[in-house]
Amino acid sequence: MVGAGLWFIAIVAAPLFHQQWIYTFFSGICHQNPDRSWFLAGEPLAVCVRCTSIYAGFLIAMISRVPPSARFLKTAVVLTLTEFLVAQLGFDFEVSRSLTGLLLGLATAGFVDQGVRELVRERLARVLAGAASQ
Amino acid sequence: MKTCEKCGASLAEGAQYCMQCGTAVEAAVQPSSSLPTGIFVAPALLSGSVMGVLASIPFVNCLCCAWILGGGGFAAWLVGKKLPRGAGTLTYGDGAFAGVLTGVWGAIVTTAVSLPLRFLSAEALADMQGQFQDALSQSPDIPDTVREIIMSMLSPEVTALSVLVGLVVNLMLYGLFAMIGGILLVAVLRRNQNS
Repeated sequence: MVGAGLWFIAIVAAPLFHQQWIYTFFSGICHQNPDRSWFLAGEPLAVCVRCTSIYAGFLIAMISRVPPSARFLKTAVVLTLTEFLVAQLGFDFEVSRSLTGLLLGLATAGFVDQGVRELVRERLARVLAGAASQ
Repeated sequence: MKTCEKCGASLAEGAQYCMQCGTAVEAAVQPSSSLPTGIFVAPALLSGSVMGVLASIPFVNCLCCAWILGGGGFAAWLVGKKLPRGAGTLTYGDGAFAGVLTGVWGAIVTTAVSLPLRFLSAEALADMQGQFQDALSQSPDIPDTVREIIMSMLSPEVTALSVLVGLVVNLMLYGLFAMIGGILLVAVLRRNQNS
């Protein structure tokens, strides 16, 4: 939850505090097209509308502890892919990008949370136990 | 095998939630993976190599983090295919581990492949930077941050420090997003079973 919070704060802090390095950091995972981004204090957020919505949904789900659901995840993935394909045909709307992104973030958080917990418990604990026995 | 009280879906040992309907399961017992680390290596190297090359080629890499998520998911799928009969299914931790390994290797490949591409396209990038500089000078209403983003993306400069910083950033981002890809692949492919 702390990580998701810091991630989202960084996205909002980039335009507020004119931090170029934050834009550079996020450039590897987002096109950062200003035409497809929300603006804050006259400058674009560090990622586009879709990415911002996904991270917002993820953070909301982590805070409110939305339980993981495969049906919800599959629905969100299908909606996002459909919206992406429809947008390529010219029906591209900011509200649809943000809503599908928000749903995808909400649906993803529970699984990522569980996956990270299992990764730490299964692998990191095994590495630490191996190191301790030597 | 336990089943969900609400929807009847099967629940594996250690389930905290029904992964079909999200209903909480009482008295959760933590699951654990028994897969050896070696089974993850070949899928991670293969998937990381493909992902690293695709994510570094200009215009092909326009799908943002999709290649990285896909690379992590592909590695988890390959690990699932290698599982012997009766070995059960992948846990979310297995998907995450396959993704992390793929992301780390993919970041190294991307950084290595990007270097010669950067040198080869240095002249073209310098030309484009000049053209954008002229265009931006005629548009005073564009914020300074946007100008800096465009100029830095088109910068042909390659230094040891920029390569090192790029590698560290790639390791963090690729590791994280490929891990998410691995977890989500496991979540989507599971049928009526929780881990």
